[in-house]
Amino acid sequence: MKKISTQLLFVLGLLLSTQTFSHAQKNFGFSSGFQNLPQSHYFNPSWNAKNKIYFSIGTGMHSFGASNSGFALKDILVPRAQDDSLVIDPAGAISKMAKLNYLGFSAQNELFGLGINLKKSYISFGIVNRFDMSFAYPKDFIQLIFEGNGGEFLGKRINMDGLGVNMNSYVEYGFGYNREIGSKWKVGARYKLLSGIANVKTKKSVLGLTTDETTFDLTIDGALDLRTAGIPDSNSTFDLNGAFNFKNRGLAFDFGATFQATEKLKLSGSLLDLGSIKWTQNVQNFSKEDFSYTFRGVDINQAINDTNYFETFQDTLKEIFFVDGNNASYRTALPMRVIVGGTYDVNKLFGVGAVLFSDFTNRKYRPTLMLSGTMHVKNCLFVNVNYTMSSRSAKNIGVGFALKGAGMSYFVTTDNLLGFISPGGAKNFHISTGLGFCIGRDKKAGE
Amino acid sequence: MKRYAKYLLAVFFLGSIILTACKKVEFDKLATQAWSPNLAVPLAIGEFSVYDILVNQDSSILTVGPDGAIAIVYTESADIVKASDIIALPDQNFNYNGSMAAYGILVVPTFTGTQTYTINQTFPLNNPSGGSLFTIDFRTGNLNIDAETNLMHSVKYDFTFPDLKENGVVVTRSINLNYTGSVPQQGNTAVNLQNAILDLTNGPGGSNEVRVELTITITGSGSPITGTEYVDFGLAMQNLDFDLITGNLGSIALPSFKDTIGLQLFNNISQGVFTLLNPKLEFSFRNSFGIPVDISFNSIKTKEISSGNEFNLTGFPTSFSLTGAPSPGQIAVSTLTITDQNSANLQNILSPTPKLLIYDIGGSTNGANTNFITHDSKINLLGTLTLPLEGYATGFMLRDTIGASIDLDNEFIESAMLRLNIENGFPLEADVRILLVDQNYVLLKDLTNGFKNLIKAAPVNSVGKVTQTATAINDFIITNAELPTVKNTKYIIFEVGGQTFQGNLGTLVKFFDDYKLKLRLGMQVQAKVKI
Repeated sequence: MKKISTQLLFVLGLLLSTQTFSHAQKNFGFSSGFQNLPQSHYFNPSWNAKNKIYFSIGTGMHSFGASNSGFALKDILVPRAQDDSLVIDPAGAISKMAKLNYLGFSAQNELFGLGINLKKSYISFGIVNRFDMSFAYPKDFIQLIFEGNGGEFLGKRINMDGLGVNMNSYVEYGFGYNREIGSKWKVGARYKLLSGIANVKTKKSVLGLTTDETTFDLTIDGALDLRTAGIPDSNSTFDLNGAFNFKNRGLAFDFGATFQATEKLKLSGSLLDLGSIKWTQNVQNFSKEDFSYTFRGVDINQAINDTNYFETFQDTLKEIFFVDGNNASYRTALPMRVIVGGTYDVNKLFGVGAVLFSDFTNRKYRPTLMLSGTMHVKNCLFVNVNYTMSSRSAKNIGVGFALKGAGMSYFVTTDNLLGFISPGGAKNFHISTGLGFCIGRDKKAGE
Repeated sequence: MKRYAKYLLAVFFLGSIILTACKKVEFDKLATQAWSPNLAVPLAIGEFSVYDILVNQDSSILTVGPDGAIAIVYTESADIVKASDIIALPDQNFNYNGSMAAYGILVVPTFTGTQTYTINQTFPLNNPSGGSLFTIDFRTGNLNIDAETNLMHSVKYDFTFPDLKENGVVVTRSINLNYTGSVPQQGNTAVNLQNAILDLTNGPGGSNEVRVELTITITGSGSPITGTEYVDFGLAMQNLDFDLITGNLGSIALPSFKDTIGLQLFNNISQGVFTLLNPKLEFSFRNSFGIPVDISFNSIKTKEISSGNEFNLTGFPTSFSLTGAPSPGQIAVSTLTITDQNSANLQNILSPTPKLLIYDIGGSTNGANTNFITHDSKINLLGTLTLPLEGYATGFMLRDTIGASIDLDNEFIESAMLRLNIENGFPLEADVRILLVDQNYVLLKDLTNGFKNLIKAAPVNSVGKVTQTATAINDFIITNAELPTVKNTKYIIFEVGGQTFQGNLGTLVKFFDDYKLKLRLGMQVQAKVKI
């Protein structure tokens, strides 16, 4: 047991200690096929439930996700040739990695939700907890840990640029409104006041290690611009008052539109999380200008002639690697997303859809395409099967179920069922579920 | 409802397939294995000039010529002759027994009244060193004067030393003997000679003579003078030392002097042939005697400590004259330089790994004219052997041992490789054998597997100057199986066999002050950590 624990810690520690970041992939399964659920307006403000009133207190929607773009467990844990024991295969995992890889966690929790259907309009208010944390780990960094600097890396720069962490925790207070325009268009928007709890932003992270292939001289180069807010130190704890005191204040907008092209074809698009938060509380920033230092070994001449050589050497290292700090407030943009797609009702029971998600986190474009099929049973049972393909993962099959009736709506959905069935081969794990209360008959159901 | 049933059936059928395909990751099957990173780190760097290499282990001094050429200079300084070796002033005693007749005193049955009588005496100075002393400036000394008479009358002695002056004034002393009814009557007085100057030239001999004038005054007591009485005195000069002596000191033999210069450059070298061109042996005499000195070299030789073999220098000028200092307090420098031009074999006696250079010196003063000696006069000899690092060497061997501790854990290390990278700017190559031994000097590992050419010689041009550096990179591997043994290392023995660039062909090399040897030591470890 001890052996297993050690190995698990090794693997998990390797993943977590990378302190990296990226976008945390969202649970896309919700956004295709469940457009009539009350919670759908989080993906497109022009979507809404058809009931007169929707509300939830703490149960409306909870979405959790984790992803690792670098490798799956099966890539690093492989069966041993002579028996069925598992061994760690770092080369296998490394071969699957990109230059920069991401390990992400995300959560979205609707703490309170209210939606009211007017004649042609829909107004809503919601309080939602948002948490995104992501780590970025360069392939070279992992390779360095497993293989050391003395093999393949001799004479080359070990590129650990991008190594860092991003974390964003805040509560959004959103006021939504949408309205039908004519018979085909429906547009909506949501205005969100944001109260930041904590943030970590690695604005710049450059780190390289070069080992001279002949002399083994070590040259380390790098630069750092790390900004944090609300992160407790050894003398404090998380201040959850940030959830509602608006000391780290932000503002964001969601926009959405739906176009009923034909009776069966509906097109939609949304722009989400267009906004930013200004972080002013408990700010601690760390920065290091571009530096490069080469260690050539103990200088024999100086060590002989200077009795304080090693103290001087330590002082030199401290000076070289000294990180400046300040408490200046800063602003972070929310990870903006653009979702466009369409659904086609094959018949009254079954429809298909396609959605393109565009994520612009850290000024990088990451597209994800989802294809889905949804079965509607009497407008009270929805079963959705979807397939998602992202830039580094093409094995995501998701399912979702939703039930409506008796004044309630319940759903559970994932965009990667295989992540639960065969976690060893999965890079993404997402699940969303929620229970809301509906008053008034569904327009369609009443028709 | 039947319409929906087939869809629901399909969904559940698909779900069943998916769920039955669930495949867990069986962490309990994780096997023990090794984490084996390969780590490479630099350990040490050093850049050594000829100063670092030679001066730190040798008290010799390196000198740099105007062209940057380097020479090793060994020096040895000693006072070979001091003033006390040349001349010493013994205690002097002068006694005068004066009869009545000597003073011209008449016999009378009753003597009353006062009569005065004067005599002059000259005493010879005892000078065992020989030579004629003209003056003595005393540093210390006392002149004790004793008087005795058996005259039954009061007698006053008045001494005058016309050649002895204190602060420029002639020294006089008196002794009063007041007759009280008993004889002999005795008295004494003294002169502190410190800073007194004695002129020894006014006697009839012209040197080495001290004159005294004595006047006695007899005051009669009514007793007779029978003619058998005496009036004596004695002079004792004691504890004499001088600040300055002038005279014609003549020929005084110098004590024999022998000195040695240790040639430490060769201390660790057990064999080999060195041919160092243009060696120069210089004897610089600093003479503060006011006397010329004739120096004679009894021998100059080198000696191997290990074998005791001696190699005599021949064909060099064995006699050498030193000029005297022109005046007290000054120094006359005379230098004798011995090279291959004025010797038969200076280069040769330095070649066979010598350890000691020994020279034996005698001589004598040549005081034909007036000269001087001060209290601090001496002859200081600065012996200087200059060895230009120019020539060639071959087949030399040296060995050195250093304490060491190698703490590499075989539990975590599969193998360790030490990489020695030497960029050599010296025209010197070395085959090195590195032995790891325990506290009893039992061999644990021959790190180099015999002698290995760790240092390559930098090539030289026609005048012996290095044209480019030479680099040698060598790796030394310690395997996992060897680590338990190697951990017992207490000493590292370096055995070095070397020669200058093409030393076996007699190629001339010169050492310049801009030569450098750059050393880089790195280590590459194949780790092995069980996880």
